Amino acid sequence: MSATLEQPALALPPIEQGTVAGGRDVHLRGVTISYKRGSQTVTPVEGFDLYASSNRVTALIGRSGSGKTSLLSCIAGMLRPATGAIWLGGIEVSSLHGAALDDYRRNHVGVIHQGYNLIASLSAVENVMVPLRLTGTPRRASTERAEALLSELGLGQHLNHRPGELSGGQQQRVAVARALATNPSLVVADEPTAHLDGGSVDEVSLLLRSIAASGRTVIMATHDDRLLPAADQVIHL
Amino acid sequence: MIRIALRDLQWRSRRVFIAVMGAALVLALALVMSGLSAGFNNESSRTVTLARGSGWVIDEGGTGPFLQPSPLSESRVQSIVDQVGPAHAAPFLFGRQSVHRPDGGNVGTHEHVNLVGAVAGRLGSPVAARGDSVTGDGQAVVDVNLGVKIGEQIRLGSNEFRVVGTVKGARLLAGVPNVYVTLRDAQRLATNGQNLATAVVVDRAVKLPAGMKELTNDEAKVDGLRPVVNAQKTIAMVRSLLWLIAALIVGSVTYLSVLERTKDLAVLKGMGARSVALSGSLAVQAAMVAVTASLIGAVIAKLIAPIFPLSSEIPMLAYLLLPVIAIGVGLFASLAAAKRVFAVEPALAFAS
Repeated sequence: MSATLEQPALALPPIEQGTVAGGRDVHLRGVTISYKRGSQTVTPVEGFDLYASSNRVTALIGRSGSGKTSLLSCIAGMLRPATGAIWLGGIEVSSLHGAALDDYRRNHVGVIHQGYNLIASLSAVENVMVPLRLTGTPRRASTERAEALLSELGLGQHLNHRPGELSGGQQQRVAVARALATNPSLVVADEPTAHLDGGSVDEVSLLLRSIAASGRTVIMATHDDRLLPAADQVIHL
Repeated sequence: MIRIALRDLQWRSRRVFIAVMGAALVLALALVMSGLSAGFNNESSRTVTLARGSGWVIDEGGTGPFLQPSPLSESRVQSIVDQVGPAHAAPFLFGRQSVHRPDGGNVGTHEHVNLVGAVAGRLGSPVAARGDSVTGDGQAVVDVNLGVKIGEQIRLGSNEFRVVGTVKGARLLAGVPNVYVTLRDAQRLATNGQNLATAVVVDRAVKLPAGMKELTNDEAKVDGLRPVVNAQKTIAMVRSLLWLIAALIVGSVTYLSVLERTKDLAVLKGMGARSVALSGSLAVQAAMVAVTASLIGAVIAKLIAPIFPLSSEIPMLAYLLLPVIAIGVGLFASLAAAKRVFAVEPALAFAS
């Protein structure tokens, strides 16, 4: 499957083993994703190329099952592509294993999951603290950072609420805060506006724009047309 | 990670409580069964120990001093006593006897006792733990389990005895209390007054006359266990099954609780948590569940053991083994589940 670019196609820089292909840009070349679902092998993405620059929001759109989530998972290091290469700056994500892969997930990427995937037993502030604690940030500093982020996102009154006690929009913001907690260079967001009303969609649009504006690379998967104006680059799958 | 594990336990507290209580109850029953099995051994052991000897000389055709005894005549007993002196060998008579209050009323729930006759102050006659030892005819030292106080009267057969002292845990044949009287009183009740004994208790080596054999204390204990050996085996089987069930409960609770957290674990893996750290937190969680279930199980066992008609003497080893086994099984199950969870890439775990 090849990408269809609505904006002028970006010139892909050559990737050579060991070279740094740009600071925070994400580069996929010839990525094929294949995995087992029950007894069947599913191949949602085949031979996919992508270049996503930092300071920009890249949107992947397509019907259900077109492989948007799988692609984001591969970029986030949570799924290994069958073939092809994925780079974040100078890091070849697709070749990482073990501790190096854990390190990449911990330090370089923030994920806003579809359905938020917050840990139900933890409060909002504890959920945001998790990635900070994983990077070795002391408890006090983690708490301060998490509280500041949540307050910035308008959740200052809900710091100690568990996900089940928050609305969908509030959970979404906790997920955003968690993704940004470690100050990652790459933020991937999977259906960030699912189940949100119009006002909340606008909020998320602004949020993603501001994340990109801060120098990060933002890649989102969506089938929500309301979110497309926030994207600098839209890729159909 | 540990904090997340604790929060998770707190979050699922109701389910964890039910699982822990279920495991604790089975562990408690396993402990009680272990106690019952140990109780049989202990009562036989104490009965032998209270005789204060190191060996038992019996008729060659007998199995021991307590069961299927072929009585020894006075002359055969005397041939042993003459060898080592009365301080080192003494006749011993064991039998069964009905027990009542002097007014004919029941003594608790006991209808029968083990009647033990020995020469006062010599081997075979126990030293009372409370009160006095038997010093003459008409006196009895009884096991506390009989429920008769010092100074009270009991009737054995048609003869009345005054209880002068008590001993603790002197029982045989699955909880039947022992009553110690003089040899002469025992002979009056059990052998129609004939000068017979079922064994000679000795505390030093003797040269055995023809037709006699000597048993060690351990062999004498086995004799005391002979009638309950099948009951003991049955209890041992039930005990093993209960230990197995308890292990399965602890194992399945921890295994399923890890699988239940597949999505959370995938989120944590996706955020870069190391498998080792996650496994460690799961192990802590499993250990906490196992230790809590073990502690509650031990307390329940302690509380319900006295309710059983048979004496349940739970060995300290069982109390110590309980948490060790529970933790071992819990750790194994949680790590097995963790291995299964971590084998799946985080993104695929979200979809499961």
